[in-house]
Amino acid sequence: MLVSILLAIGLAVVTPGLYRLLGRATGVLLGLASFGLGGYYLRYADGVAAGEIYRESVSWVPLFGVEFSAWMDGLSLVFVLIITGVGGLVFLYASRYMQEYDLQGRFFGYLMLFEAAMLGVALSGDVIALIVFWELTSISSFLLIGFDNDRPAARRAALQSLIITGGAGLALLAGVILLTLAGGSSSWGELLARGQTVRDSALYPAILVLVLIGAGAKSAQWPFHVWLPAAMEAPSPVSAYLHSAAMVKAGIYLLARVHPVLGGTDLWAWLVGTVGMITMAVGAWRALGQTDLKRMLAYSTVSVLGALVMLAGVGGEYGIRALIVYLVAHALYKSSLFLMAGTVDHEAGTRDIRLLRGLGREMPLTAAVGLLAGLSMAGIPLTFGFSGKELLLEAGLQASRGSWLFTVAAVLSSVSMVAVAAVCGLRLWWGERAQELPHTPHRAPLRLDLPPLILASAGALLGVWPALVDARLLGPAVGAVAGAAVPLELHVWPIVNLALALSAVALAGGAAVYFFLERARRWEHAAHGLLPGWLADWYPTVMHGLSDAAYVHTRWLQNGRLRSYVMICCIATVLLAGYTLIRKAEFGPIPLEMGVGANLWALIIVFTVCWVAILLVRQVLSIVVLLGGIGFSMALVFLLHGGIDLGITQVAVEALSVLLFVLVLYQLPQQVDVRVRLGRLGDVAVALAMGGLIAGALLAVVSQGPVSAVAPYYLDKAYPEAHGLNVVTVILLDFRALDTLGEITVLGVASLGVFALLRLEPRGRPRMQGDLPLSQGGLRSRILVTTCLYLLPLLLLLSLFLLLRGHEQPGGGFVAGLVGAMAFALYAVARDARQARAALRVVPRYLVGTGLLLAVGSGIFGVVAGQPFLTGLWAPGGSAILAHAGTPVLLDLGVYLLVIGSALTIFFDLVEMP
Amino acid sequence: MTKLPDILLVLPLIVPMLTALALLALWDHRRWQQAVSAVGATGLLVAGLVLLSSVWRHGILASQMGNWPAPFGITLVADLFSAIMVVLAGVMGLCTAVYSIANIGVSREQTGYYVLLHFLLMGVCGSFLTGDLFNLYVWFELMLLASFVLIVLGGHRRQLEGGIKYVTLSLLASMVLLAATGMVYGAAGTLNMADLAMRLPQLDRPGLVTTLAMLFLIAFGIKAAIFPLYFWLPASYHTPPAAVSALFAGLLTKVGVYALVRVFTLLFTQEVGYTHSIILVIAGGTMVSGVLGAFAQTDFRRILSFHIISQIGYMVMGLGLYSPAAVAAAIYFIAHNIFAKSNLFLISGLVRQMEGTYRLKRLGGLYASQPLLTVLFLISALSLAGLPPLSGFWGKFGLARAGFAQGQYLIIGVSLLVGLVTLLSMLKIWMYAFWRPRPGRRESRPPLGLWTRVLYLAPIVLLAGLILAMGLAVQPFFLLAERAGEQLFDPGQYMQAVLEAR
Amino acid sequence: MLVLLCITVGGLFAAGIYQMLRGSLVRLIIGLVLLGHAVNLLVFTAGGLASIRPPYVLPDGSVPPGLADPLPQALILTAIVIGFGTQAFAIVLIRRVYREVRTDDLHELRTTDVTRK
Repeated sequence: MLVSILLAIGLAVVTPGLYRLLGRATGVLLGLASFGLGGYYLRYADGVAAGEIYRESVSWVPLFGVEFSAWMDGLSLVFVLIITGVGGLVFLYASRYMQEYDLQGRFFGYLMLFEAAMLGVALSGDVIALIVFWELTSISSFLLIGFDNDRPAARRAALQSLIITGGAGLALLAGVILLTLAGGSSSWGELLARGQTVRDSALYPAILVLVLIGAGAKSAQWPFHVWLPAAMEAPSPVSAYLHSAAMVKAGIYLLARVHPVLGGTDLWAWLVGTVGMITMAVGAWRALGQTDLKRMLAYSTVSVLGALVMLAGVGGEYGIRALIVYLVAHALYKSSLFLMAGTVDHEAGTRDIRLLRGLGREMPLTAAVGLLAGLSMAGIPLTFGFSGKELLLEAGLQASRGSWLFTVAAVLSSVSMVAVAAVCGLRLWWGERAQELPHTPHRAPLRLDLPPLILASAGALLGVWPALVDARLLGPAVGAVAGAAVPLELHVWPIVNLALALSAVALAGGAAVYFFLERARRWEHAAHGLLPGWLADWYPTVMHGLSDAAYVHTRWLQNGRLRSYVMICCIATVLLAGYTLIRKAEFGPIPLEMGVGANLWALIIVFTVCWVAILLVRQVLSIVVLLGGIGFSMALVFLLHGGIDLGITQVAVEALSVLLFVLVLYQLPQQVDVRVRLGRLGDVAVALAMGGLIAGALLAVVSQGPVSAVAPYYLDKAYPEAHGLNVVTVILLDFRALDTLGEITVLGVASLGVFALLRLEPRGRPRMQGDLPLSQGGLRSRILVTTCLYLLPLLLLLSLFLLLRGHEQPGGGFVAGLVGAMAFALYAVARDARQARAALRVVPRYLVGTGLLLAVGSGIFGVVAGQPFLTGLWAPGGSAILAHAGTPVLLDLGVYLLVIGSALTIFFDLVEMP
Repeated sequence: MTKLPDILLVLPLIVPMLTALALLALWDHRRWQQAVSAVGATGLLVAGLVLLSSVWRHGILASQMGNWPAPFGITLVADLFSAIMVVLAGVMGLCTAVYSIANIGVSREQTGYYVLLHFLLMGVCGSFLTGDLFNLYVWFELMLLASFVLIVLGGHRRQLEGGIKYVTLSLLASMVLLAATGMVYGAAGTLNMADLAMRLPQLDRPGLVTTLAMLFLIAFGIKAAIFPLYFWLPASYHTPPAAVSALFAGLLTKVGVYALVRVFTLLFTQEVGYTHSIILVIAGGTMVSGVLGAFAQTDFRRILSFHIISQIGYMVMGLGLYSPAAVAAAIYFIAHNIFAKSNLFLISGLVRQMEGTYRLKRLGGLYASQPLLTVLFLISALSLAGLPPLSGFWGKFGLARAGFAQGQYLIIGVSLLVGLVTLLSMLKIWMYAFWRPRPGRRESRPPLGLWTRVLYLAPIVLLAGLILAMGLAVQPFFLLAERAGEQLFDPGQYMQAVLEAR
Repeated sequence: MLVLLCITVGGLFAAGIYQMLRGSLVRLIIGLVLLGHAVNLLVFTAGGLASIRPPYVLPDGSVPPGLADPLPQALILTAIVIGFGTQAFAIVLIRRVYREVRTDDLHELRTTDVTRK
């Protein structure tokens, strides 16, 4: 059985290719394949009738206990026979009907995919696997409804159906997960055995509601039913197959399937029964108001689906018997009526029942279909539909809960059924033909008449010969739903009882409605017009509401203002971290005595003056000077607290930064503050809160005093194992060399970024060195030029000096590189970049590459030597210049080159690019 | 003899770095750069796969950089989660490297595009593999800076506008991250994460530690684009070329998620009731806000950008639920999302290449004219929306299952509804760009050359194949995620691997 | 005096954030620079300032008592380098943006970031 599902899926996948090979024969071939599958399933009939359940199982996701498994009992068998039987006929029909359409290969592919998915639903022995196929039917239905994708209505209808059924599928998913949690397994076999456990579980109401939502949306139950009439935009074969025989029955299948597990409780009866009853009534009433033949059939389908759900709710022997028989009867007559509607549409060019009359003479075979199927639909004795309807009424009468309510509703909806059946069976064919039909109808091709005729005849045949199926096929299905064997014997001739009387009442009522159809339609319209818009048509209301909400939300949050983004981020930080901080308020004793007294005070005054001044000053150049002031005071703070390397590096960086700022800000507006007044108070509050948060958290951290767990190790090992006296440098080059490797890469990338930013304009190729205008010779100050000429070698010498002694004394590759870069940068600024480039002799970018290569190479040495990456390897002894030669020195050299290269890439370009 | 971890753990750093350096040397040779970049990315993928298989077989691997014992040096460490992420980085790197050859254009290639791409990958892999908090900051910065450049590379006005927002907010996050890292050192006296995992609970200052946790939540949260910190993402991700968008969409935010998962399973687990409830609320907000944002858009890539946010919510939800199963589902979801989301971006780029626009109102007719692309789009889009039997379904399934097991019904309800709106906005793209007939008359663009088509489609087909594989052969993928989740919930293993390596 | 430094850090942070909230391109970069300083100082302070003696081992390899913690210094050095790189890039980016949009007003930068119906 599993093979058959896979085979069907495989067939669907290759269908578009097949169509290219075989063309129109594809449909016929797939039809035959479908019959073949049906024949294959029939082989199980005898065993199933004997009460056997066939199972196959392949482990799929053992982690979740999900199996790809098949479960064939009476219920599954009935369904797979409907799916393959109706499917095969629909394929034959479609092979002719779809001839005028484009992309038929895809059409048949989707249809086959649907059939495969449907088989999967009906055969799955595992609820999770069932969901997978379930959603697959939604997707293929989506593609089929919108198959005529050039028409907006078709696209919209497809979307609506997928959103409703797919969305409810999510509810079903939730329900099924809960079911597996409550039942401890996802396989039918286990679940069926644990029905009582599930029903006793606290999750039971939730499971029931969620499953009902999923099944209800699929089977077009109120209020989800709206997608089904809209789905009539689909080509008629699709309507016949998906929207009457197969897919809409999937919900019924599911309810029937879970009935032994979830059914039988009061909640089940009332909830399921009521939903079904409302749907039945709504469908029946609205069917009367339609003028489009297919939409009328669609509403009558809604009504029948409601009846079926109601029967599932009513349960009991009568309910379930009626459910199965009515389901089969409906599948037969309704799919043939839809195919007939398609044929009429095909021939007459319209589906408007006000125009369609008296077609019987031109289309006798089609008329025969209408008549036969109509009889069954109306529930005339000696048709299978009669058995269904009689059992329905009987079930209503016998219901243990809400009997009269269900019965009355069933009778009323039967009235409407009869009227619709009369339209299909009589009105279309008899009487005077309207003149203004879009096409002149003539006899339909045999391939359009034969499939519906077969379906309709099957209904008639079963009406007179129910023994063909009742005990053999339908009985086991009833048993599977009831959870115990239930005898089923249908009789040909009606038995006189209350149900028959009600049936006759319905027939008479239906005839009356049929004769006053125009008036009924007007009433329906008037009544529908009374409903408020959101109730009459909730789907667009919900969609518009969602769309408006999304728009307002997004306009407000993602408003394009960076200020508001920064603000929200800060507020979030303050709220989250700030609240958390004061929640427990774990501040230790505040250490007031540590640090340097007077000097620090002085510095802090400098800080304060600088930043207050920055707030007030509007001249960009002054701001830069003040920023420099803050940077240099930082350096002093570091120096005062034992951070010599830190201090000198900060000074060097600050010097370069100021240069950079001057070069750039030069080209920015000299006066800033466009929006001084903008929400200043709020800004102040947020900024202060953020500062307060950081200060507070920091205070909480330091209040316990220094706790370093690693510092002593660095101090102890720096000299004996890492051969350096300057512990900070040793950490950078050895203990935490990986940081340094990453850090210089960042710097290198930054320089590449600046290069790219300056060179690459939209449209046009990047400007390269060769095609630049001669650069505008720097600042042209004679004193500066002369100074720089002498400064260059001096600074270079200083830079080498700093580089060489970095391991012992303050210095190191980074600060040395900065000084070296400063030398050339000043030179470039003072004279021009070309001369500076000439003085440097290499493209700075290659220095970046070389520096990185040296750095990573220094690390790889370690790996080659059988040690971890970046392990310091030292030459034995030492040399005259370097106290020790080792790979960390190589890393230092790499840093040095990279810093020069990066800084100069940035500076040269900035100077050069106008 | 070199020990295996010492090589395996540095390869994901060295391979992209050496590739980048080789590309730097080949600066003026475009064709060579293309080839070397693709080879380098393949190398990274292979290195990642070898690492993953090795971690699978031997458990958590660690290597002490510079041969200094933990916690004094920097430890590189790979548990399954890290290794999975490195593999994902490799996959994305390869896809992007190949796709870029067709998509990125000569002028960007001449200004160092491939070099930056590989430095970015280096930063990403470094973030995944480091076992040191400050070192994590360094790799984050490398990744960020490379991404800054990539996002503005080209200098179009929209790129610059997006770029400035991206740069500002990312730098804000970096500041918070560095501040938080500094404070952690001040509070606990160490930076090694395994060591911290041991010391933080001993500090006996849960209030302070949780405050620091919140700072990390903000810092990584901005990078991961959670609600309400995500603004930089929709402002910038739709501005660079599709190859860059795809790489960023797939990889970058996930580095933030990775970091969140790492610190909130390893370091900040003292007040789970408080911290992880906050995370759960944020997860819900992220899903909803992101999906609403997406639904309001009418531009192919802007829809996708907002969906990144929404999907981040699911991953964060896994973290917030805080059980091995939930985190496992989140890890599976990360992989799924990287494939699906990046693929959609790649597809959008191909559409743009063929039709000349990303705007839905001007697109149409792809359904009839591009059957293969249609199938590939459907696979990715439906997977993103969580429909079976594709990868996204199982991600959501796993999350819902884990959530139900803990009785967190509300967040599951939210996540399922968000899934529905996700479907709706994916279908919006479908309805406009694919199903609707091509609107108006447009100048006929020359068809793409065969080679260009191959370069565009190969990564898309590969990713679609992975989506299908993750959906159909769920077990091995989810098992991997499950084991990774179990490892995350047994920090002892991690600490032992780091502190006792060598 | 640790308290003083804490407050200074907080003040620098506040000043940086305030500058970033001004809606001006130039102020934005100034804010970032200030934040960079603030965070460096924070790391320095958080280390605890155990001592003011620079962490240098004596030439004979012996470790004098009471040296400052070298690690925060190393971290800040790294952070300074990274900060220099990112700031350089950010400054040039700002310049580039200004040349493109010709205004200092950040609110003008919303052409691609706003949802339109």
